[in-house]
Amino acid sequence: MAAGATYEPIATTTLTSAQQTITFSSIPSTYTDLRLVIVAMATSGTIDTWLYMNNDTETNYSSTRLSGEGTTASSARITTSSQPYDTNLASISTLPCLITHDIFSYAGSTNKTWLTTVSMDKNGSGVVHRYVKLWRSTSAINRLDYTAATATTFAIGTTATLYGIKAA
Amino acid sequence: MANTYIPISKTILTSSASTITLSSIPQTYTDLVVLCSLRSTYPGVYTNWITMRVNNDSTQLYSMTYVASSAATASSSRFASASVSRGYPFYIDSDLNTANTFGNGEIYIPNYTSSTAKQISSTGVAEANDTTHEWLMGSANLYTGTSAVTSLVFFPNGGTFDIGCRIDLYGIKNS
Repeated sequence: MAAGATYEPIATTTLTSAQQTITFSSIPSTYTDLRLVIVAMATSGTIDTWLYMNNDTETNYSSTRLSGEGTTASSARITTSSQPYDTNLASISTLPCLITHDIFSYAGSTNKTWLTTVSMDKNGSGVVHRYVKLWRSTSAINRLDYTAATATTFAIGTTATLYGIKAA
Repeated sequence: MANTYIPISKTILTSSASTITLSSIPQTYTDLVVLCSLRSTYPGVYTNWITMRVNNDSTQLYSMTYVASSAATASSSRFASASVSRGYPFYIDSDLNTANTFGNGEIYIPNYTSSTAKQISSTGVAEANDTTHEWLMGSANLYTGTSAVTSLVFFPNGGTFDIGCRIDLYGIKNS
């Protein structure tokens, strides 16, 4: 990619207090695709995480994943779900988890597909996930909520950055 | 608003080499992206690991977990730090695989200037137009060194990188 191509930061946040949800709102519709990069840590224990589109918590999500847990590989599919699941975070400050979401044609009027990667090695344990996900909505995406399960939080120092990718 | 996917360096081999080093990496970005197109000369094998050291650190501060698909089988394995002294992003094509075919992949290093551990994500492919010697891999490489990343050293797990190998380094800035 040559210098001057479009890969622009829309918003970024670094948590200074533990939070259950990281929200990106008022996302402009001026890009072609979105990329969300998260370096996440759990405050304590383990937390399940989801990425919601436009704060939609209805059963409009599905996904197919390939996963590796160090000894076994697996593949699974979830349909008609209200929880666009990413992973079970069990990381601490010294072992962050890297999560990326590439959301294609987010401002279009067709259903939205996106790719998710979860990379979380913990020196002797950990997981790798690669997902394709679908949000069955024809609305343009103007809000993203990255959410931990009820009564759990992302730790201080967790970072999340939303980028806009523009086609020629 | 600034563009932030900025090319830092480009390396294309005109002769085989045992290592490719990306040095003097500026500390002005948030994340790094490494795009690779690589082939190993290691004789007698179809595919070969590309391996990586951060700041040429050869101590046992690396571990990894991967998931892979080859032919009709998916698999997963891991290396713990007690057994390795480098990172293992993915497989690339090697001596016995189809000539002039290179393994391609991306390595993403977040928060590379931080004083915390680096969780590095990689996705790579080595395709060979046969039924048994190609790989699609996703991996998480953890480097628990706490220094900022100022250099990256890549080398195949045996043999050398072939002529035509290419590594591009980009900087990603979040503001």
